[in-house]
Amino acid sequence: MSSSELEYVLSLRDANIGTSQKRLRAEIIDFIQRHEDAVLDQLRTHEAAVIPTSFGDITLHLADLREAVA
Amino acid sequence: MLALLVSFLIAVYLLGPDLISRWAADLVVFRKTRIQSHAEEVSRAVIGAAIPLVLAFLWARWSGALARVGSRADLETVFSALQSDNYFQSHHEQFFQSLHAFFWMNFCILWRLYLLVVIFSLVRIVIVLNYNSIWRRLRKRWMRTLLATIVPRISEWDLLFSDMLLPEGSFRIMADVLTKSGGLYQGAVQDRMLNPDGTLLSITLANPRRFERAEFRKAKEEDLATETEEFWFNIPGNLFIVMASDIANLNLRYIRRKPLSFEPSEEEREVLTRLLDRLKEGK
Repeated sequence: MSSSELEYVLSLRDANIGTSQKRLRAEIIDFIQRHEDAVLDQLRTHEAAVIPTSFGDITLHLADLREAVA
Repeated sequence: MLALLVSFLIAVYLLGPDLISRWAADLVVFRKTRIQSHAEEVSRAVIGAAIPLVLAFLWARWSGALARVGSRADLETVFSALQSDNYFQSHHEQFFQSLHAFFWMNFCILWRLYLLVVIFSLVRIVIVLNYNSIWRRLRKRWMRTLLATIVPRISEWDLLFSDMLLPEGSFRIMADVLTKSGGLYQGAVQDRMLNPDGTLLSITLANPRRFERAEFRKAKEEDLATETEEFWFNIPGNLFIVMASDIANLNLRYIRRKPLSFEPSEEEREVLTRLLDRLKEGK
């Protein structure tokens, strides 16, 4: 892979990270809003909640949530 | 005898440094191996070793170390004696004195050469390991392209599957794999195997799921509001290997392991704060 090709692939991947991140967060927040009680139950019981997304199941830990709003 | 000496000098001055820099590159990236002719390999080694060799020579000369241990006359004596038996017979004693000086002159240059090669290799490793943070600081495209020349001949697949060149933070690489037989699988990329020439051999998915396309299509025909999520089925096990020869196409997505902890927006913060408040209140 030449240096210009490498640079091009890295730029594409950088754009991919931004888009995926935005979409995943939107899906998580949407799920929390729609199923707030179920998410709360999971957090109370396991200190973590499993959020189904198009990326697969994402586990949100209580500590991560606290870190996000800190 | 002269041919033997020249071969030895080529090995220690050219092939040795090339070997060290290749070994160092292999520590950080999966390099593509290419079958090269002997001439190509020697040319690459000469070009690669030229700069450190010139620097090592100038360093040894500038410090006076080279002049202290021998002179040009010693080199001439050694090479002449190895080339001509008559010269060797007539300058027998002088040859062995010059051979001693010849050894130390080479030693003077060689330890500097190898030190420089090791330093260059370490700098290269540090740059590759911190590639993304350096890359982000460079604004101009030509500067980024120049930086890319530092990275060894990396395999395209290694670049796509490795988190080495990803931005700082912990990432997970998710893959949607469509096989030639029509199966659709999803999971987090756990590992990848590459052939020596850098082509993909297989990928291993963690937490794999399979999409039942036929059932989904059938359900969709009956009810347009059918959601895809209901047709994903978890595959037991944590090591699901898909051979590259079976893959029709691959969709890769890079996500953070803690997706919400990176600069949440005001709206996201509000939703999460409300959730945590309710959790604290016990409602």
